[in-house]
Amino acid sequence: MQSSRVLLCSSTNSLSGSAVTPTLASFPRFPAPLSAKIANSTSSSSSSSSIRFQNSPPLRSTASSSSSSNMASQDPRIATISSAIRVIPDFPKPGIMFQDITTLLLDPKAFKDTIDLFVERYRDQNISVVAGVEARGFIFGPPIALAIGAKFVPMRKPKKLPGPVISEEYSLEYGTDKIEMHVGAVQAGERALIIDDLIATGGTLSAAIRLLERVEVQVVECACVIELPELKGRERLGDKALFVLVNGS
Amino acid sequence: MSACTDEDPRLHGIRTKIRVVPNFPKSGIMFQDITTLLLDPKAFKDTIDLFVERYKGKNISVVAGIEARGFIFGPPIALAIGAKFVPLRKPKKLPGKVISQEYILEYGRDCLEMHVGAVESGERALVVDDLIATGGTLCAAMDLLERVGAEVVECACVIELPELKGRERLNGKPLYVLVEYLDD
Repeated sequence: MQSSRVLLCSSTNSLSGSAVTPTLASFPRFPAPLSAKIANSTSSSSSSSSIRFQNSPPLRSTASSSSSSNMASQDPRIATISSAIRVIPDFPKPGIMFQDITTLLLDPKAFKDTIDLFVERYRDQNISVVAGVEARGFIFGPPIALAIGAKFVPMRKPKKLPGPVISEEYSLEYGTDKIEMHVGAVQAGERALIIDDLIATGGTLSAAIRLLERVEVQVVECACVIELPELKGRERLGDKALFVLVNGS
Repeated sequence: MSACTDEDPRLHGIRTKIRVVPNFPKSGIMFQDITTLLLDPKAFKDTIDLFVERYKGKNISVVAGIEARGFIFGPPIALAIGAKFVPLRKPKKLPGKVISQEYILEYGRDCLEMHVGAVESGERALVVDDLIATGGTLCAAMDLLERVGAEVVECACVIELPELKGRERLNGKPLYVLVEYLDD
């Protein structure tokens, strides 16, 4: 869908070409890494390959950033999704604005739109693995996997998976945690997506990437509903592309 | 394993994809591992289709899934039948106001929570989990829904362990499962 290709051209990557009149030559062909996002995010002027925002909606406690976007009007589904996400202050501790996707799940159309946006992006990309990070990645991953004909691989906290596992440790603010995957769930050479509801610091996602790469799977992209850009998780993903629908800021 | 319905040809594929892991999480337990089912796109799709065919067009507006494996099967069903998905979670995971329901385990207790306002009185609901064992968790889930005035139409699980008599614990609520596991 040409309009969605326009949306993928954001200022955070090196794609050239104008957001308004794209030429095919200026877009890398998938599966070249596209550190792109469809987001209600701020962006620079339209002279770069980014999208100028107009018509900021009133600030509300949703995951969308303070400015709305041409993207919302180009893809009306983003606005619905963004406004369906509830922000809960001071959870799990003071100072944290928690992005609650459960309210999105209460809106069948918005939930379906969320899945559709991912499916449209990935369906023809020869992806055979959708890995979902426990627990909210289990909500978004399976519907995507089913729609694109891929297997679903749960990535879990320690001691939950019953069979032999491989583990990857990652740092928390204080201490470390681990995620695990079943041995044999994926094969060398498979192309994978990693799904979670949200990327914050990127610790969990980068551990998930390492787990898959250790068994020689090609991680095509990480996909989240929400990004918290101030936490710079995107940078922690190394050369892996990240695709998100909305910013929480 | 045997099927609970007149044998739909899809059930064979589903049944054979479930891996039994002995002595997990502790000695004597034959753990029913559905992750191997999820590795087979056709079998996973068939699993969802069997539930969707049963529940589509029945005016069900809520699919409640029990953390965490109910989160894998519930949302695809909800999406296909046009219902909302409501996660039922262990304590302290849901960020907003919750109602809690305690239930008894073999040793001790546990608790299941649901967001206030997720479900309205009069809504028709399904409860979905990967497996029913003793039925304790499913009972707690039904209690949560009924406390807010929802009607639990049915509990739906991929697997039943009939020897643990969970079905009886459901107080007459219908239970629909795809496969039974009988320890030979």
